[in-house]
Amino acid sequence: MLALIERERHGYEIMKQAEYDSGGKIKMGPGTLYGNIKRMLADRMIEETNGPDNEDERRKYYRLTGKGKNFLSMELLRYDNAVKLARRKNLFPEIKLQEFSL
Amino acid sequence: MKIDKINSVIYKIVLKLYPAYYLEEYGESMEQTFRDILTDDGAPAAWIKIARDLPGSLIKEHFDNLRSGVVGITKRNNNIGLAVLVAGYLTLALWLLAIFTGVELGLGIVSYVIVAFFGFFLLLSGVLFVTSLVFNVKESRVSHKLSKGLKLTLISIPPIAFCYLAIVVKGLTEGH
Repeated sequence: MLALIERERHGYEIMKQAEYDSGGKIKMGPGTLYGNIKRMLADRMIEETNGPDNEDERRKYYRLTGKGKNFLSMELLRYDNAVKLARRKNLFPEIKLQEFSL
Repeated sequence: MKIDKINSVIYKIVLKLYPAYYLEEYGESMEQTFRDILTDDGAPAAWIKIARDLPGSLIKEHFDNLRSGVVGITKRNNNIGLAVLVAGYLTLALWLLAIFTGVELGLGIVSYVIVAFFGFFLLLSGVLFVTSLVFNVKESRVSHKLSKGLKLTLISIPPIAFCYLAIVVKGLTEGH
């Protein structure tokens, strides 16, 4: 979902963006990618579009819906709160949580 | 270019292992994505990516398929039968390919990858075969006629049996 926050993308772009954003930790194949797309479409978190100016008619483009954006911001807020709590209580001092602050 | 086309055709065959409704919706996009990976990263990297992705996504999609009840029982049984057929003959093709590369290229990363694929498909076809047999025999007994899924399952016996026998024979002869 984070890969779609900036703009609509087609499947391969989502795959590349997720890999780039995670520093190479998330390496999806087409099966996992489209399985996740299927589930997010079913949950109405994303929707299909024609793409920017009908760039490539063969490809399906996807973008976040209002529901998807809300869900994502709530999730990010939840993570942020968890990190703040862990930092305040100085849990796991060995991983220096301040380095990961948002 | 020709190599890319061959890789795409092989991938298209591999895609048949996914549930039919899933393929109908995403098959073309998956093929396009595979072609993009081929163009950017080359064939070995593309196949490594597929090999890492395939087992998990296959199990997940088939499980989703069974759970959601998107397809009727007959169609589901046909799909499982078709999956056994594809997996069975793909396993046989991989066995032949493993022997060919072993003889021609010797032991190396290519032959290890092919053997790993062979192992995975051997296991997959075994599991699918038993599952298909259970579902399709049940359907055939209820309808009093051989279901299409059962016919497909029976056609897939020779390659699967051959591959399992080959493994057993190899194990026995190496044991002595």
